[in-house]
Amino acid sequence: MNMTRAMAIFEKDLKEFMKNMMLFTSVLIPILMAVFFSRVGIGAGAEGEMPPEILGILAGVVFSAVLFSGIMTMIAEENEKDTLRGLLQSPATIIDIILGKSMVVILMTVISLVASIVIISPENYWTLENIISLVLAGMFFLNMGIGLGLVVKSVATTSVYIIPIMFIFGFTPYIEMLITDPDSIGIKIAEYFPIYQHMFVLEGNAGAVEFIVLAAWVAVSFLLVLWAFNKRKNDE
Amino acid sequence: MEIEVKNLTGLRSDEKIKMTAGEVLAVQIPYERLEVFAETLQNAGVHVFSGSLLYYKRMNLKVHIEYLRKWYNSPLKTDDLVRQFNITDVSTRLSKLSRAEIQKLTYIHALLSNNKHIVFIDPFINTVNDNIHLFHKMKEQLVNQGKSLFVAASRLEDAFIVQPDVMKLTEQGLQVVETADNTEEDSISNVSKIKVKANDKTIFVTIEDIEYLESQDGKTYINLGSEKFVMESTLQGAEEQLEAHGFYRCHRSYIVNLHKVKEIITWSKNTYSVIISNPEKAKIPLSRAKFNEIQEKLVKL
Repeated sequence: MNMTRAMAIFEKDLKEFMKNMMLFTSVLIPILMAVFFSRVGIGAGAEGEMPPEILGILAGVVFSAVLFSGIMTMIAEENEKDTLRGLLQSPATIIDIILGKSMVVILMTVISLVASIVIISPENYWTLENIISLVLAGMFFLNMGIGLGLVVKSVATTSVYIIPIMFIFGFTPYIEMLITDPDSIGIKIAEYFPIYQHMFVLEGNAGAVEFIVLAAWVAVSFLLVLWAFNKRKNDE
Repeated sequence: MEIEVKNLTGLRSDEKIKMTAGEVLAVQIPYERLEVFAETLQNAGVHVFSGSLLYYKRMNLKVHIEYLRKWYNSPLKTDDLVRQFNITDVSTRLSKLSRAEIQKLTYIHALLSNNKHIVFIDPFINTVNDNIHLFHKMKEQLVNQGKSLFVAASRLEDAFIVQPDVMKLTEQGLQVVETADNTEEDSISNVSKIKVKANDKTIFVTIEDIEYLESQDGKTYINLGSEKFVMESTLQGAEEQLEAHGFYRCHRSYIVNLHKVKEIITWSKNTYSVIISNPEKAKIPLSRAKFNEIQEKLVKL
């Protein structure tokens, strides 16, 4: 790993991110949603407290629209235009490139998430437990983005993955609107998804199990990254 | 670094192309072999610049230079490079710049690269004369940096733009491009047409229409605008035949029609080109020894 190289990529891609309207608007979407939620006050309880479902979905939107789709689109664009050909002379450099790009999307995710949460300003949000759950969930989405980004050949193909991943992993709590029976098998499965773990932690009644489930998701997504690396290496 | 010729031609050969630090090679490689060539060298760990410009279209030139400079941890300064390569517009995104302007970035990229071996493939196709001057500037700097430069050109004339010593890659392997063989030939003056062969036809070409003649693989080719014919004579013979019609042997393997010459360009201390006034602005190599003589001839024409 070479930090100078990762920083070179970081600076270049930060500028690229700002100029790419598709990526840049994704940062604004959760912020606009937060403004919308805070004005309308959907489901706000008697004390005006925002329900954890809304906060969970907001985090899910940030992770899937900014973190996941951002890193995947950036890697896919390099694949499509073949812009890395001149740089990739040693296998180690791909790690520097991914690291530099990840730093860009992580920065943007933090900006987008913090801004959205500040707008809603819920109580007891920034607890240590919740921050850990956000970091773990974020790692899951980042790994998914890197893994799929390495595999897809063009920017157009990324949209095939963005919508399903966004609905399944980003908007998981919305399943309660589709399936009203709380004992349904669908809900039981969904409750093992990453955003639900984050919501349980946010509600404050989580034990070690939620963190173990989140860590398992991170491990699975990391395996996806390893698989994608190997596939790419074999293709070349 | 050594590259085995047999990997490039696919034929058995023990020859090797040697890329030595601080040295420049100019080699003519048939167009159809260039792809294999690029791939082989890329795998050998050489930095290959093929014609395609692989950069980020949303970014401007300055961001690119800055980025490459940091990536390769190069001691060169961005502002110096911008000045040296006459980049006037550093703030417009690449998608709005001309190809010639973006091409300068490949020269800068080669200077910034931490690879000791640089290859350019057909760098003079789709380019402008100003960029050829900049290419020579880059060439000198690469040599000073102790890098080796290998220019592969599909057209022999292009290889001569790089330097006077040129090699070519053929079925037989790597050969130094030498003087066309001197054989005796009957010289007839006061003719207005010349006999050439094209497949089964024999064509009579009006001498005035000829732009230039070149000798390759022991054959003499006549170039007329967009057409190219094989001539049944050696270059030496053609020279004797055509001298009286205002033709001049400007290089060991080239004869040029002085009436068609538009200008002479000096690329560096000892590389010159004669520019033909045709739509392609063909660049014919001019030997250093003939540089003064051709000018006299052109003036007196």
